[in-house]
Amino acid sequence: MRRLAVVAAWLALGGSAQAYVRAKTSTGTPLAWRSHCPVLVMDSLANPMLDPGRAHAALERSAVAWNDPTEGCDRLRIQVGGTVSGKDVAFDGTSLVLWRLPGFCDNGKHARDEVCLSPDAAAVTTVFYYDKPNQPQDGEMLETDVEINATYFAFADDGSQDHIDLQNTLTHELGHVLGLDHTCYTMSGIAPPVDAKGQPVPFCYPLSALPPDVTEATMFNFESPGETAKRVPREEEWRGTCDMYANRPATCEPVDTGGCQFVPLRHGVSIGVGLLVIAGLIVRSYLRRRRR
Amino acid sequence: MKPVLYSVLLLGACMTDAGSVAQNHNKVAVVDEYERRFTFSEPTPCDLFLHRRITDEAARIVEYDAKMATGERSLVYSIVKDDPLPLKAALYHGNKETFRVELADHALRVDADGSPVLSVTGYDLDAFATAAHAIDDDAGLALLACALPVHKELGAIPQFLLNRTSGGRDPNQPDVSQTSTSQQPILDWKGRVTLLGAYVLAGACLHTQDWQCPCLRYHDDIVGSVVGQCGYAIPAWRSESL
Repeated sequence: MRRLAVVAAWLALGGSAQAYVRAKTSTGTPLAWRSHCPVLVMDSLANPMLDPGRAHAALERSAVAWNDPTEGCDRLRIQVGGTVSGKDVAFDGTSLVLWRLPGFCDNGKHARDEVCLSPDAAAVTTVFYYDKPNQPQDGEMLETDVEINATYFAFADDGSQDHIDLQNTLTHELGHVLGLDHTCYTMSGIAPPVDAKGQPVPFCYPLSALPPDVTEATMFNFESPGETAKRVPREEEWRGTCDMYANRPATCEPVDTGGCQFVPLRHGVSIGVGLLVIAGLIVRSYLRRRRR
Repeated sequence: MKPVLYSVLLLGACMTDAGSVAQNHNKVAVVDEYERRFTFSEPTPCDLFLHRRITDEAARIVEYDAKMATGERSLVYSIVKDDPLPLKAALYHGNKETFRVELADHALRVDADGSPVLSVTGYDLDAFATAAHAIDDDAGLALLACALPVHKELGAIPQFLLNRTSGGRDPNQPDVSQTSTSQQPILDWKGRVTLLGAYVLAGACLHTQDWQCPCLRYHDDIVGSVVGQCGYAIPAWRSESL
């Protein structure tokens, strides 16, 4: 109730969020979930260094860290489902959280995987979205896949100083799942992104010169072993998601993975799959009528 | 046919326009924390208290935050592929850049406060230098001289400094690229020293007022051979404007 009261007071004061940074399309449209909700499931491949139940619990706590403060002000919830097998990072209708384990990058077929390309990264979130400039769907988020890099880093869930804290990492990644971007940018030679107030986001380097409002945010793009500060999003960050999703037309129902699933569309497979399904239904209908 | 029509409608509603689906990748990078003193005897003697290293393979940037005898400094090494002087090393005191060194295969330039300070041609063989004014950052020069990227004691050598476009790394063999590593070089580098060797020379030879290399003979399997020119100094017309 106290949290709801805080939110209500904030809304009464105008509800304007402080600086936070939104991820955008190639033409600058902010990304957001519009007709779907983020439903995350964990891959069944476990990290031998961390009990699967504890890893799942860390994921749930990370979701709660974003869902709880915004309970009274937005209409989007990160939902956590069970586990799945046989899925990978791909636009396939399943938002996946999966471990990359030691040896993964030794296999040449994984050479272009983001975790192998970024050995300094504790985790990588791939966001799938519509990039359709000047069309209503532009910027609509469709799916997110989170890879946790146990290939190069040891994870724990207790904040131990020589491990990467899983909840710390996942809370950051779930910020991306919600459509947030980093509080500083790393690629030189590009126009600086702007935050929600239109202010340029600072270049990350040197890190030592960045102000605390950049480095203390959950969406700061760097973390240290043993760090747990990112477990709790800063107020301006969850307020940001309130701004993003306050007027969303639909709320998120409890997890129902049997709902509208995206058909995999890569390499033109979707059309084939779609036609096969339709053909199957027609044949079944025809056979039923023949039986009658 | 009602079930069929219903199924077709449902399928249509669920399908996405794949041709318009884009993706982006967001990562959280891990900072290497040291918070201890290091003493190196090669390539040049170096004594520092190293706070941390931040490596960003995708952006081709590595930052070292350290305390030198005369103050705190941050040193940011980077590669900017299409720049005529693609190797960079920028020194910071807080958020102020005190000076930066930019290098190509054979030439380098030093700027401070946005103005040229020193220009060297043939730094990798027969150096010829012109200078405008002094570099007022002893701590920064001392940190640059440490040539931190060549020290495997600090962890994996960033792959981009090995002129590799991407990299996996083996914590036990940080100098050995893994099978996932693309061997495609970032730069078409024709210098007599490697990228790391160029940084070694920049650190060893750049001084407050001149370009003067020690009698350096350094060899490492990764860095290659780096030979100093034993005191080659800037000519007398050093005050010539750059």
